[in-house]
Formats: sequence, structure tokens, C-alpha cells
Amino acid sequence: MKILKKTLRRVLHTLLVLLALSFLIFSFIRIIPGDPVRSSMGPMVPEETIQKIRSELNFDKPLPVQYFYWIKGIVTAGDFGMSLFTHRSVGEDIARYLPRSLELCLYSALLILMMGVLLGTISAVFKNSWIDNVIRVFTYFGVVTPPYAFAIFFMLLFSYSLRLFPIGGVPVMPAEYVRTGALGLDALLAGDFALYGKVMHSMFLPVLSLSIGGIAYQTRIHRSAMVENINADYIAFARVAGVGNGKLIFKHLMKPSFIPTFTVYGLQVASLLGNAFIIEVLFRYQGFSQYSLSVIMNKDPYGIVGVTLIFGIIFAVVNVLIDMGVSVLDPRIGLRGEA
Amino acid sequence: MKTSTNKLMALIAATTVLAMVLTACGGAPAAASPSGSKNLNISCTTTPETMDPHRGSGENDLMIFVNVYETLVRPNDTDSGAEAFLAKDWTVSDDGLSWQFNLRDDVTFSDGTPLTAKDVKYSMDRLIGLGEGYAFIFTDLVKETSVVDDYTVAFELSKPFGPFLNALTTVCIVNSTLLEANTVDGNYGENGDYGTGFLLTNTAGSGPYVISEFLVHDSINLAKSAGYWGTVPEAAPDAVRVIELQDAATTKMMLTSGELDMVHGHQERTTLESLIANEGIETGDLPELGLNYFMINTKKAPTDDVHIRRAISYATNYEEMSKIYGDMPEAIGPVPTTLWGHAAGLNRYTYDIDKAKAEIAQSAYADNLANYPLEIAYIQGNGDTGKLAMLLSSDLQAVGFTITLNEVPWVLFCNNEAEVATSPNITNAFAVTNYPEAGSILEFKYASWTVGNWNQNEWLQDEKFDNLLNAALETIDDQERLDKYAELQTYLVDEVVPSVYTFNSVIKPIYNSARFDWRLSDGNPHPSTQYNYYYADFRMK
Repeated sequence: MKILKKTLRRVLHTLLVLLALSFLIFSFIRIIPGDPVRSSMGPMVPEETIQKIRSELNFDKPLPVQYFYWIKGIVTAGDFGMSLFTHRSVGEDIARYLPRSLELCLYSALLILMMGVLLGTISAVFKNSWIDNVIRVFTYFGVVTPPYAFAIFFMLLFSYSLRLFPIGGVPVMPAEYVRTGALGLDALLAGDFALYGKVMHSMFLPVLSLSIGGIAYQTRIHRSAMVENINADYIAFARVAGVGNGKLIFKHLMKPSFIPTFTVYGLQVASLLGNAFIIEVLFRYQGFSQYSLSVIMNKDPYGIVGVTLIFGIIFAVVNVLIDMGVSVLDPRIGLRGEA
Repeated sequence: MKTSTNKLMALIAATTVLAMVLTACGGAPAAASPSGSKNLNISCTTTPETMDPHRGSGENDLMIFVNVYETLVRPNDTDSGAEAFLAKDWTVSDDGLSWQFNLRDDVTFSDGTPLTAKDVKYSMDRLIGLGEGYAFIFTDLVKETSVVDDYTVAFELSKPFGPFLNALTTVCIVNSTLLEANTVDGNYGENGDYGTGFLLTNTAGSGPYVISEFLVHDSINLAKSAGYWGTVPEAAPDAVRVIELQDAATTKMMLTSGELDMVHGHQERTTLESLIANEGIETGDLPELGLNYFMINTKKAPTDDVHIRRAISYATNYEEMSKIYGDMPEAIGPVPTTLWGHAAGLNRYTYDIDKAKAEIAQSAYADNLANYPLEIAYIQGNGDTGKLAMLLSSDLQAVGFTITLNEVPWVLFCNNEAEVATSPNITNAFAVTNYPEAGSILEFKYASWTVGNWNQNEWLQDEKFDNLLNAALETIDDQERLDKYAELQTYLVDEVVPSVYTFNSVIKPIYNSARFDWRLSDGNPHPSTQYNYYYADFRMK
């Protein structure tokens, strides 16, 4: 009951933060110099047309009124406004691009978690052995090498030389399959496992490239936590009490070591969407990160506030989930601000 | 000690990855063409956001539109002047106000509906009604479009307009029956949404190709139109896929592995050279009806003095600038040399520092030049224009100017150009004609009624120029109009010097010559860039 109350309070705080964020971004975008309508429509479009579009987008009204209409549209109709860049509703664009990027990030997040914990555990258990050294060298590579370098290397090796994967692009999804916008999920929902296989095939290298840095970092964090706990008194006591190695690692070591891993993991997952930009460009995976950069570069007002809000929501939701997860892992830790 | 070890390990790791990448990036022969494949794969840096021919006007939009939509007249392949297409012939009244076109009676849209005068009227009304794309040419010009009979259409103009025929090359004729059937409520009164929702992803044209799939900012697939009214040669591609592709490394891998047949759009010189180093990969010059300009603000000190503007023209290293963009052809005056109406025999400024100094000495600012720093601005992320601006900046400093060089984001650049006070002394940008005739580029670059747009940092506002231009635009007779255009160009080059004409803009597409022949490989490029991408003219191997 207490945890539910704390969670609700946290969610309310988050909503207030998002509201403030939306107002700040909306204001900043509208007050910086430059007429986004004119620059998107071209120099020769008559002023009457420009004025008409400004009026349709409410740009001719005072800033607080513009914000009111915008937030009202989101709350009442899920309408984020019209994009000057794509000439469509921003909500429609978000619905089109976000699911496919979330799917990319989801697979990447799972890979980071599984591989990070696995390699971190192996590295800690075999501390200072050759296995540990190999894994540590890999983590150095992973942490210092930017994702785009891995992406280009994987493309050259697996796609260009070995021809095992396509050089970017994703399979075309038949219109009747499109339900969620997430490519793999839509293929599964349509029961087309062959297409799902093709989607996974085309997503393999983007996911791998996006994950390597996270796996390396996660491995290092998990190894450190495990090594620290291995030297703790309660582990020495457990050994004396005759607890076997397997039980010692998975029951007594894993859970406490997972707390720092989990906290860092949360932040990594939240930042995956931002990091996905260069991966999406290189692999021609037209997703939300690339869309976000396009609207920013084109100073598309409703596009920018829309994508910023989505990034804010994702960060906020992941943070709440992490706080909840950590408090479940270690009941001594309350939700942030409540401990 | 531990920190040093970490740094060493990091350095080894980064160096190894870099070495692997560089090794793998070496040249490779172009892959053999997929046997028997008549599908053409092209990449562009951006694909169109809409398939609506009355809203788009960018080069990448037009590359698609010319294959899907047709026009009453189209630019010919010698001097870009208009030739008959959907219209068999036409007449114009003596006062130049009434134009009547007789249409071919054998044209059908891709769904089999005959193309008639009703569709032409609907198209012109829709273009003006939407107010986007090329509407600005016709909004104040076309008083009325009327259907004389099924295959005769008439335009009543509000003033004589000599370039009307060439301007009509921009008006795509759409299937009015199909669009009216797919119109929903919208912002255009009784015309609802004018079919804009439908045309976001569908097509309604009569061209040799139809759009089989359109994924915004991803790809466009074209397929041969099954019931095309004309003839498409057997060798033409069965399908064309245009993908959006920005990254140079991915581009190179796709081109050399055979996944891509052509790369359209500007590539940095080093990328271009590394690509054409591969066997079978070639490039060439496709003229673009545009120029690169240094636009000089004629209303702001010290560039309000014609001697200062001449000094800038002499201090421009044309040859080096051309090399920066990969050996662009020289510009001769304010009109692209391949555009209808370009005047022959114009004087040219050459790179001559001594002459630049001599011009400064004759100017009103000769004694206090240091008090008037020159601001040079260029658009952030706009290809290599920054390098051009830096080169000019260096030469201008050598002749005594104090320079402020600014890289400006696009939106702010546009905003600054709206007022003469905030327009810099010099900006660099490309400008491309709207319709294939000199009058178009001269109007939006220098006319008083088009100031405040980013194509006219010059703020010329010159009464003599305006009068000469109006006289030219109102002249119906082609030869007379050409003579007046020549007079305008001479006036600009010799007396006003509002811009530096850096080079003619050409596009250097990179293509796999083993896959197809086209106008560029035949040595016969079309002066209107988009017509080089008329896929019915391609011959797959």
C-alpha cells in the first residue's frame, strides 16, 4: 500500500515536470528568431498563403493562447499539431516513427541487460584470469568506441564482405499488416513468421551496433559490484557455512550486485533512443531519432515540442520504473525523495 | 598508474577499430549487375514529403513528378525552351492576354480516364487555390481558366506575360475526376481539402510511371504505368526505387556492392573521388538551371559603393572555388549559361588582386575602410559553401577589408534576409530558376517586388532594372524578349555589379555504367535537371 502511494506521488511529480517541460520548450521554440512558416514554404509563396497557414497553426495568437490550444489538443484529441516539415499531424508522425525505434531500443535493451550481466558475472567470478582479461579488453573497446564505428565495421564485415546481412534498410511491411508501427511486432501479429525473420535479419546489425557500448559499460558496472560483494563479510560467512558456488553466485551475490547495475541500466535504456540517431541514419532505419533530428534542423515548432515531450516522457517513465525496481530489489531504499 | 593503463588500453582499442575500418574501406570493383534485373535503384539525400505536384517544387520532388505527371508544354533538350507535350499547339492574342491550347485527344490518366480540358482547368485552379509550390507565378497572373470544349482550354491573363509558355512547364495536370472523388472536408471552401490528403501518398497523373509505394523519408517505388497512352521503350526500367540515403559510408557500400545503381545529389569531393575510383562507377555533369552567388547588399555600407562591389568581384578566386565543388563550369553573368535567355558576350570579372585594390582606391571608403567591417554569412550545413566564404574572406582581407565570417542556421538566415538592416554585406547561396527562362531568375534575384527573400541579399531596388525587367516580361515575341534579357544582364554586370557569379551549378550523379545508359552517358544531358531523370529514356543493360 505504501509503495503504491509513493508510486502515485512520483507519477504526479513526473506529470508536473512534463507539463513544465512542455511549456518551456514551447516558449523557447516560439521566441527564437525566424519564421518557421516562411522558411518551410519557400521564398516566393504569397504572404496571404503564409498568413493563412500561420492562422491555421494558431501562430497569429499570443503565446499563452497558442500553448493552451496545443495542450488542449493533446489532452482532448491526442493532437500534437501540424508538422511544417512533413505536412502531417505530428501525432501521426510520432505514431509512425516511434514504435519502430522503440522496438529497436527494446531489443537493444534486452541484449545489453543479458550480455552485461552475463559477462560481468563471468568476469567477476574469474577475476584476474585470462577470461577476465579478455572481457575487460572487450569492455575497453566497447566503452571508447562510438556506436557509428561499430556500425560501419559491422556493415563492412557482415554486409559488404560476407554478404550475411543487408546494407541497411528494412523489409517493406504490407499496408494491411501495419497495426502498431513496430516492424517485428506487426509481422508477428499478422502471423507472418517469414517476414518476422526478415525483420530480425535486417535489425540484427543495428541492434548489435547500438548495444555494444551499453554491454561494455554494463559489464564493467556489474563486475565491479560483484567483485565488491565477493569480498563482503556475509559472503565469507556463507562460504564458511558451506554454501555452494552456484547458490552463492546466483542467490547471495547477484541480487545485491544488481542494484547499481540496474540503476545505471535504467539511464542507459533511457538514452538509447537519443543514441539511435546515427544508427538509424547508417542503416537507413527510418525511425523516431532520425525524425527528431529532422524536425529540429527544420525548426518545425510542433514537431520539436512533440518529440521533446516524448523524450521527456520516456526518461520520466524509465526513471520511475527504475526507482520502483530498485526499491523492490532493496526494500531499505524507498522511492527517490522518500528514503 | 591505473589511469595510464586505462588510457593506453583505450588508445589501442580505438586505433585497432579505426585501422580495421580504414582497411575495409579500400576500393573495390563495382559488383556485377543483377542478371536480367530491369529495376533501377537510386538514392537521394532527401526524398519528397508529398506526392502532390501542386505543393512540391524542390529538385527531388520534380525528379519524381516528371515521371508521373505531364504538362501542356515541356522544356526541350537543346535550350530548355518550351515544346508541345499534352498540348498539340496554341495561339496567343495580339495583346498577349488570351492564350488558347489545343490538347491531344489520345491521352489518358493511369486509371484510364481521358485527360481533357476540364482536368487542365482543375489543375490550374487547384494550384492557385492551394497557393503553394509554383502558385506564386500564376496567382496574380491568371484571371480565369476556361474550358472551350473537351480538348481546348483557354487562359485569360491579367497582364501580358511573355514567359507564360515556359512557366506552364511547371503546371502538372492531375486527374480531376479521381481527386474530386477523394476530396474530404478541408480548408479550401467548397473544394474541401482539394484532394491534398489523398495526394499525400497517392498519385493522379498521366505519366509513364505510377507510384507503387511511398514511404515518407524512406523510399518511393515507381512502376511502369500499365495503360500509358504513349510508348515506353522496352529497355526502360520496369521499376524504379528511390531511397533516402545520407551517409557516405553506406552509400559507398551500397553502390559498389550493386545494391544501388545511382547516387543523386551533391557529394563532398573526397567522397566523389573515392567512389569513382571503383571500376564501372562513373560521374559527369548534369546542368542545373542555377548559379552559386555571393550576393552583395547594395544598400549597406561599404558595399553600397559599386567600386567596393567590383573590388569584391575581382578578389574572388573563381578557379579555386570551382575546384572546391569539383570543377564546376564558369558562370558568365547572372543567368545560368544553359538557361533560355542567357546572353552571350557578357564581360567577366577575373581574379585580380591589383584590380581589386584599384577599385577600392576609387571608392568613397578608400580612406576609412577599416571602419567598415564586412560581414560574410553562409548557411550552416549547406555543402561546401562555408569553404567558398572562407576563401573569399581570405582574399578580401588581403586587399584590406576587415571581415566577420558567420555560419548561420537556415531559419535565422531566412529571418535576417527579411530586412535590409539585418541582411549581411555578403551571403553565399545557390539559386535555381523557377521556370526555364532568364526572366524567372532575374525577377526573384533582383526585382524590387521580390526583396526580403533569402535569394535577394542584394536589395537591388533599382528603378531602371525594374522597368527593363517589366518591359521584357511583357514582351510576347521571343526574339524581342531575348534582346531585352541581354540588355538587363549587361546592365547588371557592367554597371550595378550586385553579385559575384561564382560558377554554374551542376550536379554530379554517380552511377554504375554497367547497369544502364542514359542521357549523361550518351553525352546529351537535358538542360532541365529533372528531365534527365525521365526514366522512360533510360536503357537498362
